[in-house]
Amino acid sequence: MAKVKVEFKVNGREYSREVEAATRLLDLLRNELGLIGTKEGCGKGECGTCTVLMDGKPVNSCLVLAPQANGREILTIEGLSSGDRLHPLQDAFIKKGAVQCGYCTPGILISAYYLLKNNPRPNRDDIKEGISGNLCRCTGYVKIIEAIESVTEGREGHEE
Amino acid sequence: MPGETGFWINGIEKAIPKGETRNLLEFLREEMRLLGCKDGCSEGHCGACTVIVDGKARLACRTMVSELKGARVETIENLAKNGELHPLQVAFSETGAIQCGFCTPGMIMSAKALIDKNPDPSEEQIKKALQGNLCRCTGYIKIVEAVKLGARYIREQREEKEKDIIARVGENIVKNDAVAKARGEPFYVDDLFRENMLYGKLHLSNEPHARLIQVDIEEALQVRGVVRILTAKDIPGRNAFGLKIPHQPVLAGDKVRFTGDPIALVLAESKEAAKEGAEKIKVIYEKLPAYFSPTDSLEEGAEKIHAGGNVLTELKIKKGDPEKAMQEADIVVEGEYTTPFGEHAYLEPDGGLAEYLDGLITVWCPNQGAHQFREMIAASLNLPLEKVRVITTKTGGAFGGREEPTVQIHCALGAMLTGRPVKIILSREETIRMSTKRHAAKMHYRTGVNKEGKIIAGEAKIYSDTGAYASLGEPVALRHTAFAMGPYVVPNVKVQTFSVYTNNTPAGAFRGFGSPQVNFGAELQMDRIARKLNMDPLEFRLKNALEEGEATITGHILGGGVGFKECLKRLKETLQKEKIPQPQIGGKMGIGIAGGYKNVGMGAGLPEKTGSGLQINPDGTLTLFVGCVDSGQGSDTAMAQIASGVLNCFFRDIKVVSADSALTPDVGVTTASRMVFLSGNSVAGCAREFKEKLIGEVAEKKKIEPADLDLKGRDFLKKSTGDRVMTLKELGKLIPNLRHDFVYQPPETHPLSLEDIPEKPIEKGENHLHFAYCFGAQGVIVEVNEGKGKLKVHKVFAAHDVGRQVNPQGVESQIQGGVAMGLGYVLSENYFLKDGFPVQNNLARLKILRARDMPEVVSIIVEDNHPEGPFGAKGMAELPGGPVAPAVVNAIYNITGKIISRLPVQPEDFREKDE
Ligand code: FES
Ligand code: FES
Ligand code: FES
Ligand code: FES
Repeated sequence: MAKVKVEFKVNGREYSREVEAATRLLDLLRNELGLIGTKEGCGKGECGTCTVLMDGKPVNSCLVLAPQANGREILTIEGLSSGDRLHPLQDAFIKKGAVQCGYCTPGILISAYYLLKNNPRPNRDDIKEGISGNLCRCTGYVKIIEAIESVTEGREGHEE
Repeated sequence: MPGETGFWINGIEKAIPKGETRNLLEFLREEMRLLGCKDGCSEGHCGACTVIVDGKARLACRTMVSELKGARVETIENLAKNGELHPLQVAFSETGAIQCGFCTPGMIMSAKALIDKNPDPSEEQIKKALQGNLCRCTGYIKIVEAVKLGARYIREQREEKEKDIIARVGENIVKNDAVAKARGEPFYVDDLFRENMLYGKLHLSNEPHARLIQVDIEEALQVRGVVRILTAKDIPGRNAFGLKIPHQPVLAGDKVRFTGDPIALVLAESKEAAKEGAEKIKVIYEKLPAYFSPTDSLEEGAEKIHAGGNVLTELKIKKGDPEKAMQEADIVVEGEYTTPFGEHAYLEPDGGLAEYLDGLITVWCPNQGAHQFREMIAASLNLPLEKVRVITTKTGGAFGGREEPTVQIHCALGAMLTGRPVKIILSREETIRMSTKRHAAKMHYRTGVNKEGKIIAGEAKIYSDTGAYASLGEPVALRHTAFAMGPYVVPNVKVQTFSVYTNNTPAGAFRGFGSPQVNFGAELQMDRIARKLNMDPLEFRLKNALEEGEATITGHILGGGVGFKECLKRLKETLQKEKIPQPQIGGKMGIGIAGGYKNVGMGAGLPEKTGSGLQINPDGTLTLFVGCVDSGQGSDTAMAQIASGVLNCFFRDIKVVSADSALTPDVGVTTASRMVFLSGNSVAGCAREFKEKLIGEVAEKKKIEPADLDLKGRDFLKKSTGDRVMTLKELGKLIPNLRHDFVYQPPETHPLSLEDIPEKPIEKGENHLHFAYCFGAQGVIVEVNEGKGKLKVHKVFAAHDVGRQVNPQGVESQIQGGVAMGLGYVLSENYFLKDGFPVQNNLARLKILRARDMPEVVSIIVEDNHPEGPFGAKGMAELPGGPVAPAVVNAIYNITGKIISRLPVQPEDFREKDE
C-alpha cells in the first residue's frame, strides 16, 4: 500500500511520519509516537476513550485517518500537563475521586478541557452534555461532573 | 510564670531583667550573642536588624525589651534546622542575592514574615514587604527573585510534607494510581509492545450449535504475513477451560455451542494480516438445533448441548411448611418476572500479551484472578504451574466479566508454539461476543402474608439461563436461591432454581452475582403485597426486615452487622424531607423504593483463600503484596491504607504489587465483594506481625526493649525518650528485602442446606452460608409521561450498610457507579442473540448510560460495623446496582398503576394506549 507523509504537531512538537494511507490517527499516536494515553475502547466512535483535540476541536481519533491530520495540531492527554505541573482539571479529577479504572479518564479530560476552553462557566447540564460523547462504566459520572464543576471559573479551587 | 515576666527567643524562654533598658538589638547581640542581627544604623533606617516578633517583622533597634513581655522573637539563627538551611536561605544563595551580606539576615527575616502569611506573594507584595530593608550592593532585583524562589521552595516542601500521611481507615485517601491515570500513563495490556511480536486473531464459530466437519486453513496460510495457524489439535494439554467445570474449548475441535467459540488462532506479523487470515478460514459445519431460552432447551427430546443434558444444576431449599402457610395466608400475591442478560461493558476491551522465555510463559493481561488464569493456562499448555506466570496489567474495569479468560490462553499457546511474543486484543464486538454475561432469569413468585402485614410464606421457581457453558452458573444459581426472598424474615419458604444450558453467550459472574435478578422479583412482590395490605411500602418492609437474631431463608441466624432496618429508616427520613421537583418531560412525578442484600465472600463452605505479604526495601519503602486485582474499584489503595494505618508508616511509602502469580499469594478470584473483608483482614494481620518483626530487628540492633519502640512515619522512636533511634531506610539497608507473609483464617461458612430447615431455626452457628452480608435500601424520584411513553429518573437515594468505610470517597464512588449500572439495567441495557449472534454487539447498541442520562445520586451511608471485618469493614461494591431497578419499576406503578414485570422497561410497558 502506498505510504503517505504526515507532518503535524502533537502537544506542541513537530512530527513527520510516513504511514499507510489507511492508518488511523489513533494508531499513529499510539504505535508510532508512543503516546499510549489515548485509548481504544471501541474503534467505532461510540466510547470517546480515543478523544483528542485536532486544531482545537475534539475528534474520535479512531475515526480520523492519519493523513487527515497532516498540517494540523493535535492535543493528547500527554500534552495537558506541563512537565510535573498537572492541569487543574487533572488535579480536580484526582482529588474528587473521579478516576476509577482510568480507561475513560484521558478521553474525558480532553473533552472537559475543550468544554472549559469554550465555555468557562458551564452549568451542570452543559458539563453533562460536554462529556456525553465519552462513556464511563465505573463511576456513574457523578464525581467526574463534580470535578469539572470545581474548576469552572469563579469556583473555589480554581487555579490560574 | 512564662509570659508574665519573660519572653521567648527562638523558643527559649528568657526572663526580662528588672529595670531592663536595652533595646532588643542590644539584648540579642550583647546578652544572647545572637550576632546575626546586624546594627546598620541603630535608628530604624536600614532594616539590618529586622527580626520577627509575634509573626511580624520588627526593627530590633526600635524595640525595647521591657515591652516584650510574653512575646515570641525569632532571629535568623532559628532558620536552619538540623544542619539544613531554610528554603529562603537556599534561595538567597542560589540566586546570588547575597553580596556583602550585611543586609541579608534582615532581608531574609522580612521575607520570612511575609511568606509565613502569604505563601505565594506577588512581586509587588514582596517589594512592599522589603521596603524597610536597605541594600547597597545588589540593586534588589536578585533579592526579589530570591524571595520568590524561596516561597516556591517552601510551597513545594509543604506539598511534599502533605504527601507524608499515615493513612487511617475511614479517611479519604487519594488513590495511589490516580495521578498516573489522570496523566494517561499506566500501561493497560494494549499499551505493551514487544520486539518481534506477533498479533493473534481468532476465527470464531459462525454457528450457535453445530458439529465441526472440517476446518480448512490452507487459503488463510497463504495470506502474506500469516506465520502460523493453530487449531484444536495443536493444543498440547487440556483443550478446555472454566473456573468450575473446565469444559469450554480453547479451540473447538468437534463441536461449537455458541458463536463465540473460537475454532482457529491466526498468528501474523500485523493485525491486518491476522484479520485477513482469520476471515479466510473455511469451516464446514453440521448444524444442530440451537436453543436460546431454557424453555426451549428443556423441551422433551431437545438436542443435548452437553453430554450430561441441558440442566447444569437444580437447587431446592425448603424451610418450615410453605404449603400449609400459603393456605393460611390472608393475602397471596403471585407474579412472574423476567430479567435480561447483561454485558459488563468494561471500557477496556479484553486481551493479553504473552512471552515465552527459557521455558517460562509470562502472560500480561487484565483479569480478576491471576492464579486462576495461571492454572487454566498451565493445564492447556501442559506445563507445570511454576512455568506459567500471570501478571495483571492495569485493568480497565471488570465487574465480574473478567473472571473467565477469553484470549489469554491463546496468547500463551501462540507464544509457546512460535517462540515469539504474541498479543491479542479483542475488538469491542469480539469482547461482547465471547465474554460471559449476567444470567437472564425467569422467576415465578408467590408470597403469602397475614392481615397484620407479616410475611408468612414465600415460594419461588427460577429458571436461570447459563448459556453455552457452565462458567459460574452453579454458584450464581445458589445466590438466586439463597437471596430469592430479599432481606426479609420469611418463616416458610420453598425455592427451586434451575440453571439451564442454551446456545446463548455463556453467563457467569456480574456485579451482584445472581442477586440482582431475584432482587427484582422479590422487591416487586413486596410493593404489590403492601398495596394489597394498604400499607406504606417502606413500613411494610420495616415490619418484615431481617435483623440480628433473625434467620435468613437458608436458616442462617444473623449475628452482628445487619444494618438493613437502619438503611430503611434513613431512607425514610431523607425521602420525607425531599421536595418533589418540577416535571421536566411533561409527566407525572412519583417515588419508588426497594431493599436488597448481598453476601460478602463466596461462603457456602468453600475454601476462601486469603493472604498477603510485606517486604522492606533497601530504600526504606515497603512493598505490599496482595492477590486481589484492582480493576478500578481501588483495592490497591484500600489495602495500602490499612497497612499504613496498622504499621503507622506513610501511605506513600507503601508500594503495592497486586495479582502477579509469581509474587503475590493466591487469594482466589476478586469477586463477591470479598476483598475488603478477606484481603483487608489479611493485610491488617500481616502489617501487625511485620511491624513486630521490624521492631524486633531494631530492638536487637540497638539493644532497646521492643516494648519501648514504635514506628512513626519513617522513624523508629524510643518511646521513653521520644528519640529517633533508626529510620526505615537504615533498617532497609541492614535487612534488605526481608519479607513476611500472613494468611488470614476467615470465619467458617457452611454449604447451602438442602435438607428441610425448621421454621424457626434455633441452633446458632449452623447454616452460616456467609460470613457477612451487606444491606441497602434505595429510593427514586421518577417522572412518567404516559402519553409520550417517556420516563425520566430525577434522583436516586441510596442508603447502604457497608460496615465501616475504609475510604469514604471510594465507597461513594462505588455507590454512584453501581447505581448507574442499575439504572442501565432498568432503563436501557439489554443483551440477546438473533440467529445466534448478539444484537447488542457494540457500545452504542448496549445503551449504557451517558453523562446526560445520569440523575443526581444521594448516598446515605450506614456504618454498622461488622464484628469480624477489618476495622469493622465488610465490602459493598456490588449491591448498589441492584435495588434501583425494582425501585424504578415500583415508582412507575405508583404513578401509572401499571404493573411491569420485565427488564429493561420498554415504553410500551407504560404508554397510554389509544383506545
Ligand atoms: S475508540 Fe474511538 S470512540 Fe471508542
Ligand atoms: S473510570 Fe473506568 S470507565 Fe471511567
Ligand atoms: S539597625 Fe535597626 S534599622 Fe538599622
Ligand atoms: S548585600 Fe551588601 S548591603 Fe545588601
